[in-house]
Amino acid sequence: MIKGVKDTKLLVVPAELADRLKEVAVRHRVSLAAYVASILREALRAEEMGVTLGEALNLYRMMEIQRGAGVLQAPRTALQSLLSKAYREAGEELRNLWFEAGRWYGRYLKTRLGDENLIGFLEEVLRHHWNLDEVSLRGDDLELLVSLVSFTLSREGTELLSCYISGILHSLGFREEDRSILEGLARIRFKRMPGWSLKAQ
Amino acid sequence: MPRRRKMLAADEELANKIVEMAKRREATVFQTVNLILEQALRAEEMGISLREVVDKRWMLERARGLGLVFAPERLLYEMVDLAYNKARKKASKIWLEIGRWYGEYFSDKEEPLKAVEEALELLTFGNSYYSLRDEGDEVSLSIVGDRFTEGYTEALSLLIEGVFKALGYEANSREVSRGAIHYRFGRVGDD
Repeated sequence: MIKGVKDTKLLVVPAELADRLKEVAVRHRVSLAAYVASILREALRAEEMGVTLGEALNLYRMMEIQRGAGVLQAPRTALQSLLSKAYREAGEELRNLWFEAGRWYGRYLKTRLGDENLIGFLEEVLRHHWNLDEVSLRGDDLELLVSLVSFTLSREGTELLSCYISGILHSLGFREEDRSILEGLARIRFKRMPGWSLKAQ
Repeated sequence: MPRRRKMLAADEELANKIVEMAKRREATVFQTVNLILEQALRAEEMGISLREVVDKRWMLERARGLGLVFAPERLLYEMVDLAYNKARKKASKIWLEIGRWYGEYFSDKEEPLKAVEEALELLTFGNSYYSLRDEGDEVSLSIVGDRFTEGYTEALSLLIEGVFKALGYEANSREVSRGAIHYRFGRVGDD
């Protein structure tokens, strides 16, 4: 960085990047300096929230994809209370409901994201949108181990979320082999279904 | 062959903050600035403004702070309807009580109605819309969602009513039908 005229500094950037920024600035009918200033301000704002611009962009994209999937916000406490009351009377029905909803969502993701890393995207969705404390989806094309941790999810919530994930992965060609569920803790093992391949689907 | 470079003028104060950012990230200023500007161009290609991108990040943090979670709407509606069909009174009580809790929480804020509005923005993420108008002696509130079920509309209306009761309002008028909620609230004790 080099000192410029009073109150300005000069940032050194690759020429190609500077040219592309100039094109955008012209399109928006602002000066290049003003455009760069607005970018830096937003980068600093993101930094205050503890993320990079890249992370914020990835999250934005995820939220738009989720919006297309018909996702909305609801108070967690209301959901938990409803779940525990409804689960007592209609547990089987709820498990099927969540599994089928997961299957739909899995098909939606395949359609929307195409060749992208669907498992990686799903991991991020579980982390950010379901507010899980820990999430991991580890394995390969043949076998997958899903681990979830949440310090606030009830036993019923954990069970139903596991059914939802099972539905999603079913749409992605994985069959559930076994699961271990405790309140706020789930480990589910999946195996690739025979006849499935990433290319075929 | 080394790449050609150019220089961009930037406000000194902003530039200094970027230098501090680079230090925190243990990267050079050149690398940090490059990354930032590349992401800005990526947002441009996606047709979105950076401000909107960062605002959405704020939205997620805010939602988390308010104890909200994302839920697939079809699942949520079906569960709410299930609960309403099997235990209407208990389900209604839950939503009203949760609304009152939020109302108590918002009442401590400097601008409680602004806090309510932020929450409404989060609750109508997706395909529903709200309008909140402070008309001095009355507050008018509308929420519409063409995909709301009857049970979910009722539940949401009770949540709203609970919020405003805790804030010291009472419903002067209430119109709730599937997919549409309209309230006019007046301060308790106002004549």
